[in-house]
Order: sequence, then structure tokens, then C-alpha cells
Amino acid sequence: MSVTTLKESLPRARSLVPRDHLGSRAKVALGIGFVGVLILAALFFPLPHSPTATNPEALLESPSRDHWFGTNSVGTDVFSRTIKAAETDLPLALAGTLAALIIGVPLGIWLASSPRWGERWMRFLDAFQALPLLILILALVALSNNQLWMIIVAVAIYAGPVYIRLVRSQVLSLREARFIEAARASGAGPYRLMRYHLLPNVRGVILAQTSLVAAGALLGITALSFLGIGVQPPTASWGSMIALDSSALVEGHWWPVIGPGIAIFLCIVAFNLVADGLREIGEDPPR
Amino acid sequence: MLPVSLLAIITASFFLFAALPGDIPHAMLGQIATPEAIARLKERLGLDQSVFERFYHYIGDLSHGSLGESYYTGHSVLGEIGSRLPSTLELVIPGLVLAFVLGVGLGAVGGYYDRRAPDKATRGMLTVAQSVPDFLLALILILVFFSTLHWLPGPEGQLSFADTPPPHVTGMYVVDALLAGDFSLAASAARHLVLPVITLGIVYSAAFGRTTRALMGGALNSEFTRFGRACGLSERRLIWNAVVAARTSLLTYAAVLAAGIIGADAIIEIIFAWNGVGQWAVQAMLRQDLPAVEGYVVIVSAITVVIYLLLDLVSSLLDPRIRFDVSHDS
Amino acid sequence: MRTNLLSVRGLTVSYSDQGAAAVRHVSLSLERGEFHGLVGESGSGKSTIARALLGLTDSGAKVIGGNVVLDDLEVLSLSNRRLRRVRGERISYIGQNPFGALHPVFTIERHFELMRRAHRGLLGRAEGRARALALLQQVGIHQPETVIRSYVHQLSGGMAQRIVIALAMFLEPDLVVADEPTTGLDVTIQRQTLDLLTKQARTRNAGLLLITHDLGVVAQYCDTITVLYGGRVMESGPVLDVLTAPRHPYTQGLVSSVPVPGVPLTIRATGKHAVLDEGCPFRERCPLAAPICASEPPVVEIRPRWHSYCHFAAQEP
Repeated sequence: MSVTTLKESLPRARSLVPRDHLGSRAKVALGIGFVGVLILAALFFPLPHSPTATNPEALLESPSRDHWFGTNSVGTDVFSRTIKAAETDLPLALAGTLAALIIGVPLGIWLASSPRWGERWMRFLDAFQALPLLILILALVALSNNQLWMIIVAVAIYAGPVYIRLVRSQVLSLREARFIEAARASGAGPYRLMRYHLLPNVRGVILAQTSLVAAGALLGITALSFLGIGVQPPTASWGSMIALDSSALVEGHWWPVIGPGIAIFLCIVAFNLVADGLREIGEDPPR
Repeated sequence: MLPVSLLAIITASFFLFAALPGDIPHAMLGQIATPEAIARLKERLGLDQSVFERFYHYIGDLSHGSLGESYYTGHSVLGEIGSRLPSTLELVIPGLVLAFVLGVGLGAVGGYYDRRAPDKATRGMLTVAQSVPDFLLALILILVFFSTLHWLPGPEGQLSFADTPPPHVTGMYVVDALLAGDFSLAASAARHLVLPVITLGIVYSAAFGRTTRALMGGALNSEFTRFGRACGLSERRLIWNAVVAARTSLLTYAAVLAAGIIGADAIIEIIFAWNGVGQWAVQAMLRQDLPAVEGYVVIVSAITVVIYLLLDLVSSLLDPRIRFDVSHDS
Repeated sequence: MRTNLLSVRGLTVSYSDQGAAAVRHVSLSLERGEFHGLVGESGSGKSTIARALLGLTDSGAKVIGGNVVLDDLEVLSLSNRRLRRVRGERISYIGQNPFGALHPVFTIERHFELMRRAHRGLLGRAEGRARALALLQQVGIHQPETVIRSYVHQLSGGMAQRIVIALAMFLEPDLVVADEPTTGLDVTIQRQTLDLLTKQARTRNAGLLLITHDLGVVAQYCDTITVLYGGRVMESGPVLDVLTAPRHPYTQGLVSSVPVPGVPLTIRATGKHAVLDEGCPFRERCPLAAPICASEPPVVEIRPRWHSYCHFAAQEP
């Protein structure tokens, strides 16, 4: 029954360290940087080989110094085509996300400001989101002859409710906040309230969510092109690249699928990174 | 609300599809599209009528239990779906169960080791799993377990080429094979199920895992867990109690999970050459087979509604807070 | 016959994400049947100590010094399995949120049953149920048969806390730790609950560690008191002595802050916060503070079982 002594001396209490969120900022920068570089490379970077040229003499070659990711089943250089696809897939995903944002955020604010309508529409939204929307998206895009703008609309339909719901709950909780009361008391009208008081505060959450929505949009778009819906060959798209060589993969030639696969994976990770970083900064804003 | 939105979806999708710019007769006829051929086809398919007339007929058919005929095969859409539905269910139901169990498990681990190493590890796993598209995961699994290791069959559908399907009872090969007493066939069917079910399970447990992590975290760090610990209950018992406390919310989210899986199932079926409804529907979409696609949307939405209702029912049975609405004070 | 039941020596608990320790060198002791009040402001470390007695710590908190001895058991060095037996069986805990403590989906009966099963071999099934019913009756629940089959959301706050008390007494513990048991209750039933709790403890000759921020409660129900501030003990001793003639500036401030008509305030505490380091946490606010207060406060024995932790304790107020 011995008395245990202090195992370590106790440090002084320290004052709150100013949060500079270096790590979080790095995450955001890294994520955005990666995606940005990829898009720019697709648009401007001189690719080692043509991303669309087929070459019957060099089918399914393993990765080599000449073809960094080998060639696929019609002889195209996988690396070049993978990079090129970034100019289609990523902007589409981002455009869809933007569309969802443009539709969703104002709707969310509007629903938050009219209580009667709000409740009813939220319940409808619940039921709407409950149904397998992916099916709807597939159908919409396919039946419209794979027009690209339809893809953007489809993504907007799919992701819009996310924003509506998010913005509405944020605005509702902020409305109770003191500073809104104060602003109202000093005579601020609804537009002023929204622009100068509400929006800046929901901005952080919306941004973080946007990155996640973009990730989901990219997954959806690649799924579409995988199925042959949406972006059509010869336009390069990661999904259709994977679809083309899926049988080659089953036979053991992994690189034509893994090339675009890695691209998708890294982009999603990048989006998640940005979302994480933004969320961390948002939870503890620097003074 | 749900039956209402089912109706809304049917209506909305009908009009949406009808409004789409795709030119169906043209697409179907392709090269031989002469103006007369197009006109004749339009008439045959009923596409010369106005949207509202078509909708009216559609609802009429629907109330008689018919979903129309496929533009492509001419067969009853309902029949085509019905014959393929069991195969899809054979895939989707185990996938759902796996995703649920995995999701709850991962969420529980994360919630229990709140902020410590295992929590970070599971969060990392969840992020990775969510960052890979389901079709890519399926292909990778095939590469590893079939092409490389030869442990499991490849994407050849529900059975190998050499197998003959069992006599039709339910339409689900594993069940039917067992009922026929053919154990090796049942085993083969089961082996063919493994990869697609695992793919669905992993991808959707990731999506589910985030929600469960929050729920389980809440339950595991709640007052009643701490009180239970103070009364001397074992950690294992406490974790189980937390799951029980959260079960209603978990089931509610499971419904959302189910909807997602039904959606993803189409892609999985295509990869694994599975003769299910999803694969059939995507073909229909590519062929602009309007009634088939419409029928698919209706059936899938209806199934989802049923799942929600079921889950609602089960939740209310399980949760005393809902069951005993009137409190009685002694 | 009072024997020494609980002996806490030099307990120090640190939170890993904050620099400083939440509880430092805390010592207190309890005899069997003694009612000991632990008072302090919020954040003074009361709940941390309460939980540490059962070997429970919040995630991120670690006991880095001291020991807790119950009879002859070194609680902090027990294996997890043995510790689980101690909880509920020898030391039990009552928190301030009765609704939170009870499981939302289990009947009251199930609570007792789970506790019984966790402590195998003590009670048989029928015996356990009988005792549960008897306990419910003892805590003033009139229809135990009905209540025992209820769920927590069907109960009022007062009833829920009674059930928590019943659960705390279920396995006849030697020590009951009650952490602000009436804070979450209506003012009108706070006294009833305290009466009940103390009566139950007394009939079992159990020790009671009553944690509260209410001096009045301590004055009324407790035999001894420990005053806590900034994670350290300021003063500890018999209730009557400490409250009428306190020997620590903090206690003096505390006691005199209860306004009595006609009596002028004697002590004024200025400054801001508790200082969490090797010295006295009160020195930023203490009117008697001197440079020596930056060093480890001494233990000054005023009488056996009456201690003050201050360099100026010897002075009469």
C-alpha cells in the first residue's frame, strides 16, 4: 500500500495559444492546388502522347519509360488520356456543384424565412431525398441523349437538397443569435440582414459542404460515363476509360483501369481534404 | 408523406422524361429513319399523342397493375422486371445487411475510442472507402480475388457457365438450389455472390459509418453509459446498451442506406454480369426505352417506400418513447 | 462505531490537452457513516475527484499521483475487472442528471437486473427483484410494481432521481458519492431528495460524500466539509468549525459572502482566476497574498481532522 508519487512535475498553466490553423490551411491549399493543377495540366500541359490516338501496334503495353502508365486496349497512352480527362470530368463536377449551390442556397434562405412553407417543404424534401435519386439521374441524362448540360442539371437536382437543408438549418439557428437581434433592432431590413449578417456566418459551413458535394458530383459523373451515359468517347473521361478496359483488368492488365482510378481517388481525397480543412477553420475561427 | 411523394415522383419523372430532348424514334430507327418510318413508329408507340394524353393512359394502366410494354421487346415491363427482381434482391439484401453491420461496427469503434488512435484509424478507413467509386472497388476486388488469387469466381453472373440454374421457386439461385437439395450448386451460387455483396457492403458502410459514428459517439459518451459504468457494468455490456439506445435512429438511417444501395446496385450488376433489374434498366436507358425506364423508376421508388414504412413500423415497435406516448405518473 | 472508510492522499489528476492539472494533491478522509460535504465553485475539480474515487476518468484525464484507499483496497491500482466489482458494490455514484443516467429504452426493472447480473453471485434473480421493489418503496415511490415496468421518459425528475438513489443503494455499498444530486431538480423537491438520500445512507451506515456548491446544504446535512478551489483543498474539517470560524482566507470569503443582515462583509476577493501551478490557486484574489504563496501551500493542522492549507492559517480570523 505504497503512496504513489508524482510521476512528472506539473507544468504551468498556459494561456490560450492563438490558433493560426497552419495545418488546416495547408490541407485546403493542398486539396485545391491538386485539383487546380490537374485541370490546368489537362488544358495546357503538352502531353507526352496524344490522348485520343489509337495505335493497333501497341495494345496493352505495360508501363514503361515511354508510356508511363502503359497503353490501353486500343493503344492509347493511358497517362495522357488520364490527364486529358481532367478537363472534362472535373469542370463538369464543379459546374454541377455550382449549380446546386446557386439553386440550393437561396432556396434554403427563403425556406428558413417563411416558417409555414418551410416545414411542409422540408418534409417533402425528406421524402424526395429518400428515393434512389441516382436512378433518376441516370435516366435523365441517358434519355436526353447524353447532353452535357443535362449532367449539370442532374447534379444540381441531386445535390441541391443538401444545400437547401444545410442553409436552412444554419439560418434558423443563427436567427436566434443575439447579433441578429441587435442588427434588426438597429433597423436592418431583410436584404441587409442576409447579405451582411447571415451570409458571412454560414459561408464557412457552405464552403466545406461544397467541397464534399463536388466529391459526390465527381463520383456520380464517373459512374455515369462508366455506364456509357453522359460523356461519350472519344472525349476522355475517367469512367469510360475504366469501362473500356474492365475486361482487360479481369485478365490481369491492371494499368488502364488503375490509371484513371488513381486520378479519381486522388481528386476525391483532395476534395475531402479541403472540406476537412475548411471545417476545422470554421469550428474555431481566428480572431 | 411518402405515398404522396411516390405519386409525385411518378408524375414528375414521367413529364421529365417526356420533356427530354432525346428523339426516341430517331434513335431507335437509326439508319433507316425515313420520315414515314418515324411517323409510323411514333404512332405505334403512342408518341404522337400529347404528353397529358399519354400520362392519362399511363395512370390508367397503372391502376390496372400494368406498367406498359417495352419499346424494345414489346413484352410487359412488369413481367420483365418481375423476372429479374429476385436476382437483384439476392444481391441487395445481403449487401444492405453487410453495410449495416459494418457501418455500425465501425461507428461503434470510432465512438468508443473517441478521438484516440482507433477512432482516427476508422475515420481514415471510412474516408478511403468513400473516395473510391463503387465500380472501381468492384474491379479491384475482381482483380485481386479472381485474376490474381483465383479464390473467387469472376464477373460471370450468378453462376458459372458450366452450371445450370436450379428449378425456379423464388428466383434466387442460392435459395432455389438449397430447396432442390443441390448443395454444390448452392455453394457455387453463394460464391458468385461474395464479391458483389462485399463491394456494396464496403462502399455503403463507409457512407453509413459517418452517421453511425455520430450516433454511437453520442450514445457511448452519454450520461447513461457513464452511469452504467459507475454501477459496475462491463464495457461490452455498455457498448451493447449504447447500440440498443441508438437503434431507432440507426434504423431510420438504414432506410436512407437502403435507397442508396438500390441505386448503386445497377452499376454492380453490370460489372458482374448479373441478370438483375438494375442492369436491365440501364440497358433500357441506353436504348431510350421509355416505358421500361419509367417502370423501373416506379418499382424502385415503390420498394423504397415500402422499406421506409417497414422501418418506421419496426422503429415504433422497438422504441418505447414512441410506443408509450401518454405518460403516466404514479 | 466509526472506522476509517475512505482515505484519499495526494490525488492529482491531469488533463492531457490542457497544460495544468485539474486536481492537485487532494487529500480527504471519511469514516464509516460520516457525511462529508465537498464544496467548490464550478471548475474547482469536484466532479473529477468524485469520478476518480470510482476509478472513472473522462477521456483525456489521467490520475498522475496519489492514491485512494477504501478500507484496505487501493482503488486506483485495481485491475479493471476488480474495479468493476467495486463500483456499485462498495462505492456507488449518483449524478446530477437523473434523466440522463437512466437508459432511454430499458425498463426500470431492467436497470436493476443489469446491475445484479454485473455483480454475479450477490443476488439471485427473485431476490434481486424483491429487493428492488422494496427499495423503490423505501425511496418513497408508491406503486413500485407499476413504476418498475416503466421507462424513464414516463417519470418525473424527482422520481427519476429517487430511482437513481435506489440503484445506488441496491447492492448495499459502503460509500455513496453524490455529485450535485439536486442540481437538476425542482427547488421544491430538492430538500425531499436530500432527506431521502441521507436517510438511506444512515440506515445502512454508509459513508456519504456529498458534492455541492451550496453551503447551506452542507451545513444542514454534513458532519465534515472539504473546501476546494482551483483543484486544491483549501480547508477541511468539522462542518461547524469550518463554517463558523474558518481558518483559510478562501473559506472566510465564501462564508462571509452569504449575506447576513446587519453584518458587514469582512473579506473581499479581487482579481480574476485560479492559478493552476505549484502555488496557492487563490493568491490572485486573496487579500492576504504574499510572495510565499507562490510555493506549495502547507498543511496546517488546527486540530486533529481539521486542516487548513494556507501559510496564514494559524491566525484566528
